[in-house]
Amino acid sequence: MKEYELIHEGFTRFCSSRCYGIMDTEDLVQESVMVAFENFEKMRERKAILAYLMRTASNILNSKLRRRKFHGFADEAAFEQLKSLAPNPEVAADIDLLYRTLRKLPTDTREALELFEIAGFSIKEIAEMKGCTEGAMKVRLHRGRKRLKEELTPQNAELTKLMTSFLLLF
Amino acid sequence: MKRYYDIDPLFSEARRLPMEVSIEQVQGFLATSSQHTGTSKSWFYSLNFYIMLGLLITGAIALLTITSGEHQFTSAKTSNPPGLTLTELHSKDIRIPEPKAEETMLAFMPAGEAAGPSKQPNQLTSAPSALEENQEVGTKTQLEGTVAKTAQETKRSFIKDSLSDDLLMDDLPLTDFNGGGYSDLPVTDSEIAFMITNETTSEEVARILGEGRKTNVRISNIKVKHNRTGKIKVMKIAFAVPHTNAACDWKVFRTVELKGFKTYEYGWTVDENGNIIDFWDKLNNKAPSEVPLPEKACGKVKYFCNN
Repeated sequence: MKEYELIHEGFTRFCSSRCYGIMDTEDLVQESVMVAFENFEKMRERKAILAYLMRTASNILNSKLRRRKFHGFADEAAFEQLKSLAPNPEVAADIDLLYRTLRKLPTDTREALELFEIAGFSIKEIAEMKGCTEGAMKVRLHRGRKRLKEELTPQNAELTKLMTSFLLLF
Repeated sequence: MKRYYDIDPLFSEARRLPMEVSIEQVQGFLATSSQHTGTSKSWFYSLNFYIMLGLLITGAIALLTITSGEHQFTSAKTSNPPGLTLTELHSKDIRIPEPKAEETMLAFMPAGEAAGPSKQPNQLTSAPSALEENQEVGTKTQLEGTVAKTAQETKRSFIKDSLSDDLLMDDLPLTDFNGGGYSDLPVTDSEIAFMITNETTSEEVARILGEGRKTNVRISNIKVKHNRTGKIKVMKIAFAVPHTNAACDWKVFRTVELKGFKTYEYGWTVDENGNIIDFWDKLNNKAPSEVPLPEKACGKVKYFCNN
Protein backbone atom coordinates (compact mmCIF):
# COMPACT_ATOMS: atom_id res chain seq x y z
CA MET A 1 0.00 0.00 0.00
CA LYS A 2 2.93 2.28 0.66
CA GLU A 3 4.10 1.83 -2.88
CA TYR A 4 0.66 2.58 -4.17
CA GLU A 5 0.22 5.73 -2.10
CA LEU A 6 3.12 7.31 -3.93
CA ILE A 7 1.52 6.85 -7.29
CA HIS A 8 -2.11 7.11 -6.36
CA GLU A 9 -2.67 10.64 -7.61
CA GLY A 10 -0.98 10.13 -10.95
CA PHE A 11 -2.68 6.83 -11.52
CA THR A 12 -6.11 8.24 -10.67
CA ARG A 13 -5.68 11.16 -13.04
CA PHE A 14 -4.50 8.79 -15.72
CA CYS A 15 -7.60 6.68 -15.18
CA SER A 16 -9.83 9.75 -15.24
CA SER A 17 -8.52 10.66 -18.65
CA ARG A 18 -8.45 7.15 -20.06
CA CYS A 19 -11.88 6.04 -18.98
CA TYR A 20 -13.69 9.25 -19.84
CA GLY A 21 -17.00 8.25 -21.37
CA ILE A 22 -16.23 4.58 -21.06
CA MET A 23 -16.62 3.77 -17.40
CA ASP A 24 -16.42 5.38 -13.99
CA THR A 25 -12.97 6.32 -12.80
CA GLU A 26 -13.65 4.81 -9.43
CA ASP A 27 -14.56 1.49 -10.97
CA LEU A 28 -11.45 1.44 -13.11
CA VAL A 29 -9.18 2.36 -10.23
CA GLN A 30 -10.82 -0.17 -8.00
CA GLU A 31 -10.60 -3.01 -10.48
CA SER A 32 -7.00 -2.23 -11.40
CA VAL A 33 -5.85 -1.97 -7.81
CA MET A 34 -7.63 -5.16 -6.92
CA VAL A 35 -5.89 -7.07 -9.68
CA ALA A 36 -2.54 -5.60 -8.73
CA PHE A 37 -3.14 -6.37 -5.08
CA GLU A 38 -4.00 -9.99 -5.79
CA ASN A 39 -0.90 -10.46 -7.89
CA PHE A 40 1.40 -8.38 -5.77
CA GLU A 41 3.37 -11.39 -4.57
CA LYS A 42 4.11 -12.45 -8.14
CA MET A 43 5.64 -9.15 -9.16
CA ARG A 44 9.34 -9.38 -9.69
CA GLU A 45 9.95 -5.78 -8.83
CA ARG A 46 7.81 -3.78 -6.53
CA LYS A 47 8.73 -0.67 -8.48
CA ALA A 48 6.90 -2.07 -11.43
CA ILE A 49 3.57 -1.64 -9.70
CA LEU A 50 2.81 1.53 -11.62
CA ALA A 51 3.43 -0.12 -14.96
CA TYR A 52 1.39 -3.06 -13.82
CA LEU A 53 -1.49 -0.82 -12.82
CA MET A 54 -1.35 1.06 -16.10
CA ARG A 55 -1.36 -2.12 -18.12
CA THR A 56 -4.18 -3.56 -16.05
CA ALA A 57 -6.25 -0.42 -16.45
CA SER A 58 -5.63 -0.43 -20.19
CA ASN A 59 -6.67 -4.05 -20.46
CA ILE A 60 -9.84 -3.43 -18.52
CA LEU A 61 -10.66 -0.47 -20.72
CA ASN A 62 -9.95 -2.41 -23.88
CA SER A 63 -12.27 -5.10 -22.66
CA LYS A 64 -14.96 -2.51 -22.00
CA LEU A 65 -14.40 -0.87 -25.36
CA ARG A 66 -14.99 -4.12 -27.18
CA ARG A 67 -18.47 -4.24 -25.71
CA ARG A 68 -18.91 -0.49 -26.08
CA LYS A 69 -18.98 -0.86 -29.84
CA PHE A 70 -22.55 -1.93 -29.51
CA HIS A 71 -23.58 0.76 -27.02
CA GLY A 72 -21.60 3.87 -27.86
CA PHE A 73 -19.85 6.25 -25.47
CA ALA A 74 -21.65 7.64 -22.47
CA ASP A 75 -20.24 11.11 -22.92
CA GLU A 76 -23.19 12.92 -21.42
CA ALA A 77 -22.98 11.09 -18.15
CA ALA A 78 -19.23 11.55 -18.09
CA PHE A 79 -19.61 15.24 -18.72
CA GLU A 80 -22.09 15.57 -15.89
CA GLN A 81 -19.60 13.85 -13.65
CA LEU A 82 -16.91 16.22 -14.86
CA LYS A 83 -19.06 19.24 -14.22
CA SER A 84 -19.53 18.19 -10.64
CA LEU A 85 -15.79 18.09 -10.13
CA ALA A 86 -14.74 21.13 -12.12
CA PRO A 87 -14.85 24.57 -10.50
CA ASN A 88 -17.11 25.89 -13.26
CA PRO A 89 -18.79 24.57 -16.43
CA GLU A 90 -16.29 26.27 -18.74
CA VAL A 91 -13.40 24.37 -17.23
CA ALA A 92 -15.42 21.21 -17.44
CA ALA A 93 -16.08 21.91 -21.11
CA ASP A 94 -12.38 22.48 -21.74
CA ILE A 95 -11.42 19.28 -20.04
CA ASP A 96 -14.16 17.46 -21.85
CA LEU A 97 -12.80 18.80 -25.10
CA LEU A 98 -9.32 17.70 -24.15
CA TYR A 99 -10.39 14.18 -23.21
CA ARG A 100 -12.40 13.77 -26.40
CA THR A 101 -9.54 14.96 -28.54
CA LEU A 102 -7.07 12.73 -26.78
CA ARG A 103 -9.27 9.79 -27.67
CA LYS A 104 -8.55 10.47 -31.34
CA LEU A 105 -4.80 10.01 -30.92
CA PRO A 106 -2.96 6.74 -31.26
CA THR A 107 -2.84 4.77 -28.06
CA ASP A 108 0.90 5.12 -27.42
CA THR A 109 0.85 8.85 -28.03
CA ARG A 110 -2.24 9.29 -25.98
CA GLU A 111 -0.84 7.34 -23.05
CA ALA A 112 2.39 9.32 -23.16
CA LEU A 113 0.52 12.62 -23.07
CA GLU A 114 -1.80 11.47 -20.32
CA LEU A 115 1.03 10.21 -18.17
CA PHE A 116 3.20 13.25 -18.65
CA GLU A 117 0.74 16.11 -18.93
CA ILE A 118 -2.15 14.95 -16.80
CA ALA A 119 -0.81 12.34 -14.40
CA GLY A 120 2.37 14.32 -13.84
CA PHE A 121 4.97 11.59 -14.14
CA SER A 122 8.44 12.45 -15.34
CA ILE A 123 9.73 11.50 -18.74
CA LYS A 124 12.22 9.12 -17.14
CA GLU A 125 9.49 7.31 -15.23
CA ILE A 126 7.32 7.02 -18.30
CA ALA A 127 10.23 5.77 -20.40
CA GLU A 128 11.00 3.08 -17.85
CA MET A 129 7.38 2.14 -17.69
CA LYS A 130 7.03 1.88 -21.44
CA GLY A 131 10.40 0.26 -21.97
CA CYS A 132 11.85 2.90 -24.25
CA THR A 133 14.50 5.59 -24.03
CA GLU A 134 13.87 9.04 -22.72
CA GLY A 135 14.68 10.46 -26.14
CA ALA A 136 12.06 8.32 -27.78
CA MET A 137 9.56 9.39 -25.18
CA LYS A 138 10.37 13.04 -25.77
CA VAL A 139 9.83 12.58 -29.47
CA ARG A 140 6.56 10.82 -28.83
CA LEU A 141 5.42 13.61 -26.55
CA HIS A 142 6.40 16.27 -29.04
CA ARG A 143 4.54 14.58 -31.86
CA GLY A 144 1.59 13.98 -29.58
CA ARG A 145 1.37 17.61 -28.61
CA LYS A 146 1.66 18.64 -32.23
CA ARG A 147 -1.04 16.23 -33.27
CA LEU A 148 -3.24 17.37 -30.41
CA LYS A 149 -2.83 20.98 -31.45
CA GLU A 150 -3.80 20.12 -34.97
CA GLU A 151 -6.89 18.39 -33.73
CA LEU A 152 -7.74 21.44 -31.66
CA THR A 153 -7.23 24.05 -34.37
CA PRO A 154 -9.87 26.83 -34.37
CA GLN A 155 -12.13 25.38 -37.01
CA ASN A 156 -12.16 22.06 -35.21
CA ALA A 157 -12.31 23.69 -31.86
CA GLU A 158 -15.19 25.91 -32.89
CA LEU A 159 -17.09 22.94 -34.11
CA THR A 160 -16.34 21.06 -30.96
CA LYS A 161 -17.32 24.02 -28.80
CA LEU A 162 -20.55 24.34 -30.69
CA MET A 163 -21.28 20.73 -29.99
CA THR A 164 -20.33 21.13 -26.37
CA SER A 165 -22.50 24.18 -25.90
CA PHE A 166 -25.30 22.34 -27.62
CA LEU A 167 -24.90 19.59 -25.12
CA LEU A 168 -24.75 22.04 -22.27
CA LEU A 169 -28.16 23.33 -23.21
CA PHE A 170 -29.57 20.01 -22.26
CA MET B 1 0.69 30.60 -40.94
CA LYS B 2 -1.34 28.02 -39.18
CA ARG B 3 -2.48 29.04 -35.73
CA TYR B 4 -2.43 26.33 -33.16
CA TYR B 5 -4.71 25.94 -30.23
CA ASP B 6 -2.99 26.45 -26.92
CA ILE B 7 -3.17 23.15 -25.13
CA ASP B 8 -1.17 23.95 -22.02
CA PRO B 9 -4.05 25.59 -20.16
CA LEU B 10 -6.15 22.56 -20.92
CA PHE B 11 -3.62 20.25 -19.37
CA SER B 12 -3.26 22.56 -16.40
CA GLU B 13 -6.98 22.49 -15.81
CA ALA B 14 -7.00 18.71 -16.08
CA ARG B 15 -4.19 18.47 -13.53
CA ARG B 16 -5.99 20.80 -11.14
CA LEU B 17 -9.17 18.79 -11.29
CA PRO B 18 -9.89 17.14 -7.96
CA MET B 19 -9.26 13.45 -7.85
CA GLU B 20 -12.31 11.31 -8.26
CA VAL B 21 -10.94 8.58 -6.02
CA SER B 22 -9.12 9.27 -2.81
CA ILE B 23 -6.52 7.05 -1.24
CA GLU B 24 -8.88 6.40 1.65
CA GLN B 25 -11.43 5.05 -0.77
CA VAL B 26 -8.87 2.71 -2.26
CA GLN B 27 -7.83 1.49 1.17
CA GLY B 28 -11.46 1.03 2.06
CA PHE B 29 -12.43 -1.13 -0.84
CA LEU B 30 -9.19 -3.04 -0.63
CA ALA B 31 -9.91 -3.90 2.98
CA THR B 32 -13.48 -4.83 2.14
CA SER B 33 -12.71 -6.91 -0.89
CA SER B 34 -9.80 -8.71 0.73
CA GLN B 35 -12.18 -9.89 3.42
CA HIS B 36 -14.50 -11.31 0.83
CA THR B 37 -12.24 -12.54 -1.88
CA GLY B 38 -8.97 -12.90 -0.02
CA THR B 39 -5.57 -11.84 -1.16
CA SER B 40 -2.97 -13.74 -3.06
CA LYS B 41 -1.99 -15.44 0.16
CA SER B 42 -5.35 -17.13 0.25
CA TRP B 43 -4.41 -19.17 -2.80
CA PHE B 44 -5.13 -22.28 -0.82
CA TYR B 45 -8.78 -21.34 -0.65
CA SER B 46 -9.17 -20.36 -4.24
CA LEU B 47 -10.92 -22.43 -6.87
CA ASN B 48 -7.81 -22.47 -9.04
CA PHE B 49 -5.93 -24.29 -6.35
CA TYR B 50 -8.40 -27.12 -6.29
CA ILE B 51 -8.59 -27.27 -10.08
CA MET B 52 -4.82 -27.56 -10.28
CA LEU B 53 -4.79 -30.12 -7.50
CA GLY B 54 -7.37 -32.21 -9.31
CA LEU B 55 -5.43 -32.03 -12.54
CA LEU B 56 -2.23 -33.06 -10.79
CA ILE B 57 -3.86 -36.04 -9.14
CA THR B 58 -5.46 -37.10 -12.42
CA GLY B 59 -2.12 -36.80 -14.20
CA ALA B 60 -0.33 -38.79 -11.54
CA ILE B 61 -2.91 -41.56 -11.71
CA ALA B 62 -2.69 -41.65 -15.48
CA LEU B 63 1.10 -41.76 -15.32
CA LEU B 64 1.04 -44.57 -12.81
CA THR B 65 -1.42 -46.49 -14.93
CA ILE B 66 0.70 -46.10 -18.03
CA THR B 67 3.89 -46.96 -16.19
CA SER B 68 2.44 -50.07 -14.63
CA GLY B 69 1.15 -51.14 -18.04
CA GLU B 70 4.59 -50.73 -19.55
CA HIS B 71 6.11 -52.62 -16.68
CA GLN B 72 3.82 -55.53 -17.25
CA PHE B 73 4.57 -55.45 -20.94
CA THR B 74 8.31 -55.34 -20.31
CA SER B 75 8.09 -58.13 -17.81
CA ALA B 76 6.19 -60.19 -20.28
CA LYS B 77 8.90 -59.61 -22.84
CA THR B 78 11.90 -60.24 -20.67
CA SER B 79 10.70 -63.11 -18.62
CA ASN B 80 8.35 -65.92 -19.11
CA PRO B 81 4.88 -65.83 -17.68
CA PRO B 82 4.76 -67.29 -14.21
CA GLY B 83 4.06 -70.94 -14.11
CA LEU B 84 5.10 -71.57 -17.70
CA THR B 85 8.15 -73.50 -18.70
CA LEU B 86 9.85 -72.91 -21.99
CA THR B 87 8.13 -75.91 -23.44
CA GLU B 88 4.74 -74.66 -22.38
CA LEU B 89 5.56 -71.22 -23.64
CA HIS B 90 6.41 -72.44 -27.12
CA SER B 91 3.42 -74.71 -27.22
CA LYS B 92 1.26 -71.59 -27.00
CA ASP B 93 1.94 -70.68 -30.60
CA ILE B 94 4.13 -67.70 -29.92
CA ARG B 95 5.80 -66.90 -33.21
CA ILE B 96 9.37 -65.78 -32.94
CA PRO B 97 11.54 -65.56 -36.04
CA GLU B 98 13.98 -68.39 -36.35
CA PRO B 99 17.51 -67.08 -35.82
CA LYS B 100 20.58 -68.36 -37.51
CA ALA B 101 22.99 -70.38 -35.48
CA GLU B 102 25.72 -67.75 -35.72
CA GLU B 103 23.37 -65.05 -34.52
CA THR B 104 22.47 -67.20 -31.62
CA MET B 105 26.06 -67.43 -30.56
CA LEU B 106 26.60 -63.74 -31.00
CA ALA B 107 23.63 -62.89 -28.93
CA PHE B 108 25.58 -63.72 -25.83
CA MET B 109 28.41 -61.38 -26.69
CA PRO B 110 28.84 -57.64 -26.25
CA ALA B 111 27.71 -55.46 -29.12
CA GLY B 112 31.19 -54.24 -29.95
CA GLU B 113 32.50 -57.73 -30.14
CA ALA B 114 29.59 -59.27 -31.91
CA ALA B 115 31.06 -58.50 -35.32
CA GLY B 116 34.27 -60.21 -34.38
CA PRO B 117 35.82 -63.42 -35.52
CA SER B 118 33.26 -65.60 -33.93
CA LYS B 119 31.12 -65.09 -37.00
CA GLN B 120 33.50 -67.18 -39.00
CA PRO B 121 32.85 -70.82 -39.52
CA ASN B 122 34.08 -73.07 -36.86
CA GLN B 123 37.01 -75.01 -38.15
CA LEU B 124 37.81 -76.66 -34.87
CA THR B 125 34.51 -78.25 -34.58
CA SER B 126 34.79 -81.92 -34.46
CA ALA B 127 31.06 -82.34 -34.15
CA PRO B 128 29.28 -80.09 -36.67
CA SER B 129 26.00 -81.59 -35.72
CA ALA B 130 25.99 -79.38 -32.67
CA LEU B 131 25.42 -76.29 -34.79
CA GLU B 132 22.67 -78.00 -36.66
CA GLU B 133 21.00 -78.71 -33.41
CA ASN B 134 21.34 -75.07 -32.60
CA GLN B 135 19.28 -74.27 -35.63
CA GLU B 136 16.68 -76.78 -34.71
CA VAL B 137 16.15 -75.24 -31.37
CA GLY B 138 16.51 -71.74 -32.66
CA THR B 139 13.28 -70.48 -31.20
CA LYS B 140 14.30 -71.17 -27.67
CA THR B 141 17.73 -69.79 -28.30
CA GLN B 142 16.26 -66.63 -29.72
CA LEU B 143 14.25 -66.15 -26.59
CA GLU B 144 17.30 -66.39 -24.41
CA GLY B 145 19.56 -64.54 -26.77
CA THR B 146 17.20 -61.61 -27.21
CA VAL B 147 17.02 -61.08 -23.54
CA ALA B 148 20.73 -61.47 -23.17
CA LYS B 149 21.31 -58.74 -25.73
CA THR B 150 19.76 -56.23 -23.44
CA ALA B 151 22.54 -56.83 -20.95
CA GLN B 152 25.48 -56.94 -23.26
CA GLU B 153 27.65 -54.87 -20.98
CA THR B 154 27.40 -57.46 -18.30
CA LYS B 155 29.82 -60.29 -18.74
CA ARG B 156 29.21 -63.80 -17.69
CA SER B 157 30.91 -67.08 -17.96
CA PHE B 158 29.13 -70.24 -18.70
CA ILE B 159 30.76 -73.36 -17.50
CA LYS B 160 29.43 -76.74 -17.97
CA ASP B 161 27.86 -77.84 -14.75
CA SER B 162 29.90 -80.99 -14.62
CA LEU B 163 33.02 -78.87 -14.24
CA SER B 164 31.76 -76.40 -11.79
CA ASP B 165 31.63 -78.21 -8.55
CA ASP B 166 34.99 -79.88 -8.35
CA LEU B 167 37.12 -77.67 -10.54
CA LEU B 168 36.37 -74.22 -9.23
CA MET B 169 35.71 -74.96 -5.67
CA ASP B 170 39.01 -73.52 -4.51
CA ASP B 171 38.21 -70.16 -6.12
CA LEU B 172 34.77 -70.03 -4.72
CA PRO B 173 34.44 -67.65 -1.81
CA LEU B 174 30.71 -67.98 -1.66
CA THR B 175 30.12 -71.64 -1.33
CA ASP B 176 26.39 -71.18 -1.20
CA PHE B 177 26.34 -70.90 -4.91
CA ASN B 178 28.09 -74.11 -5.53
CA GLY B 179 26.10 -77.05 -6.59
CA GLY B 180 22.42 -77.40 -6.31
CA GLY B 181 19.93 -78.98 -8.62
CA TYR B 182 18.03 -77.36 -11.40
CA SER B 183 14.44 -76.50 -11.13
CA ASP B 184 11.89 -76.73 -13.83
CA LEU B 185 11.60 -73.00 -14.20
CA PRO B 186 12.68 -71.46 -17.46
CA VAL B 187 16.14 -70.04 -17.82
CA THR B 188 16.38 -66.60 -16.39
CA ASP B 189 19.98 -65.70 -17.01
CA SER B 190 18.70 -62.46 -18.49
CA GLU B 191 17.51 -61.43 -15.09
CA ILE B 192 20.98 -61.94 -13.74
CA ALA B 193 22.42 -59.91 -16.53
CA PHE B 194 20.08 -57.12 -15.79
CA MET B 195 20.96 -56.86 -12.23
CA ILE B 196 24.70 -57.14 -12.16
CA THR B 197 26.27 -53.81 -12.80
CA ASN B 198 29.44 -52.06 -11.91
CA GLU B 199 27.82 -50.68 -8.82
CA THR B 200 26.55 -53.97 -7.58
CA THR B 201 27.93 -55.00 -4.25
CA SER B 202 29.09 -58.48 -3.48
CA GLU B 203 26.07 -59.10 -1.29
CA GLU B 204 23.80 -58.13 -4.12
CA VAL B 205 25.73 -60.34 -6.51
CA ALA B 206 25.42 -63.20 -4.10
CA ARG B 207 21.71 -62.71 -3.83
CA ILE B 208 21.25 -62.29 -7.56
CA LEU B 209 23.30 -65.27 -8.51
CA GLY B 210 21.72 -67.28 -5.81
CA GLU B 211 18.35 -66.60 -7.30
CA GLY B 212 19.75 -67.38 -10.69
CA ARG B 213 20.99 -70.73 -9.52
CA LYS B 214 17.55 -71.62 -8.39
CA THR B 215 16.22 -70.86 -11.80
CA ASN B 216 18.34 -73.23 -13.78
CA VAL B 217 21.63 -71.36 -13.76
CA ARG B 218 24.49 -73.14 -12.18
CA ILE B 219 26.92 -70.89 -10.39
CA SER B 220 30.36 -72.33 -10.48
CA ASN B 221 32.64 -69.53 -9.49
CA ILE B 222 32.38 -66.06 -8.21
CA LYS B 223 35.17 -63.82 -7.17
CA VAL B 224 34.62 -60.23 -6.29
CA LYS B 225 37.15 -57.63 -5.37
CA HIS B 226 36.23 -54.33 -3.98
CA ASN B 227 37.71 -50.94 -4.15
CA ARG B 228 37.87 -48.66 -1.16
CA THR B 229 34.29 -47.57 -1.49
CA GLY B 230 33.09 -51.10 -1.31
CA LYS B 231 32.03 -51.31 -4.92
CA ILE B 232 33.08 -53.98 -7.33
CA LYS B 233 36.25 -53.24 -9.13
CA VAL B 234 37.22 -56.58 -10.51
CA MET B 235 34.79 -59.37 -10.81
CA LYS B 236 35.22 -62.91 -11.81
CA ILE B 237 32.13 -64.90 -12.31
CA ALA B 238 31.65 -68.22 -13.91
CA PHE B 239 28.37 -69.95 -14.12
CA ALA B 240 26.75 -72.32 -16.43
CA VAL B 241 23.45 -72.25 -18.11
CA PRO B 242 21.88 -74.83 -20.32
CA HIS B 243 21.97 -73.16 -23.65
CA THR B 244 19.20 -74.77 -25.51
CA ASN B 245 19.14 -78.39 -24.75
CA ALA B 246 20.77 -79.45 -21.55
CA ALA B 247 21.30 -82.92 -22.80
CA CYS B 248 23.65 -82.18 -25.66
CA ASP B 249 24.40 -78.55 -26.21
CA TRP B 250 26.03 -76.11 -23.89
CA LYS B 251 27.36 -72.69 -24.44
CA VAL B 252 30.31 -72.28 -22.21
CA PHE B 253 32.08 -69.03 -21.71
CA ARG B 254 34.88 -68.35 -19.41
CA THR B 255 35.46 -64.80 -18.32
CA VAL B 256 38.85 -64.68 -16.80
CA GLU B 257 38.58 -61.20 -15.44
CA LEU B 258 36.04 -58.55 -15.90
CA LYS B 259 37.01 -54.97 -15.38
CA GLY B 260 33.91 -52.96 -15.82
CA PHE B 261 32.35 -56.01 -17.43
CA LYS B 262 33.77 -55.30 -20.82
CA THR B 263 35.97 -58.15 -21.94
CA TYR B 264 35.47 -61.70 -22.75
CA GLU B 265 38.80 -63.28 -22.93
CA TYR B 266 37.93 -66.74 -23.93
CA GLY B 267 34.94 -68.61 -25.05
CA TRP B 268 34.26 -72.24 -25.62
CA THR B 269 31.50 -74.31 -26.88
CA VAL B 270 31.49 -77.82 -25.63
CA ASP B 271 29.40 -80.77 -26.43
CA GLU B 272 27.53 -82.88 -24.00
CA ASN B 273 30.64 -84.71 -22.98
CA GLY B 274 32.60 -81.59 -22.26
CA ASN B 275 34.65 -81.76 -25.43
CA ILE B 276 35.55 -78.48 -27.06
CA ILE B 277 33.75 -77.87 -30.30
CA ASP B 278 34.50 -74.17 -30.57
CA PHE B 279 37.07 -71.86 -29.15
CA TRP B 280 38.02 -68.27 -29.76
CA ASP B 281 40.08 -65.56 -28.26
CA LYS B 282 38.17 -62.36 -28.04
CA LEU B 283 40.84 -60.47 -26.24
CA ASN B 284 43.23 -60.76 -29.15
CA ASN B 285 40.42 -60.58 -31.65
CA LYS B 286 41.28 -63.83 -33.27
CA ALA B 287 39.03 -66.13 -35.15
CA PRO B 288 38.48 -69.61 -33.81
CA SER B 289 40.54 -71.03 -36.62
CA GLU B 290 43.48 -68.82 -35.65
CA VAL B 291 43.47 -69.75 -32.03
CA PRO B 292 45.38 -72.85 -31.18
CA LEU B 293 43.82 -74.87 -28.52
CA PRO B 294 45.64 -74.57 -25.24
CA GLU B 295 47.68 -77.50 -24.32
CA LYS B 296 45.52 -78.22 -21.42
CA ALA B 297 42.52 -78.13 -23.64
CA CYS B 298 43.13 -81.57 -24.84
CA GLY B 299 40.33 -83.61 -23.61
CA LYS B 300 37.95 -82.07 -21.20
CA VAL B 301 37.38 -78.43 -20.76
CA LYS B 302 37.84 -78.64 -17.04
CA TYR B 303 41.61 -78.87 -17.42
CA PHE B 304 42.02 -75.35 -18.62
CA CYS B 305 39.21 -73.55 -16.94
CA ASN B 306 41.62 -72.23 -14.38
CA ASN B 307 43.84 -70.55 -16.94
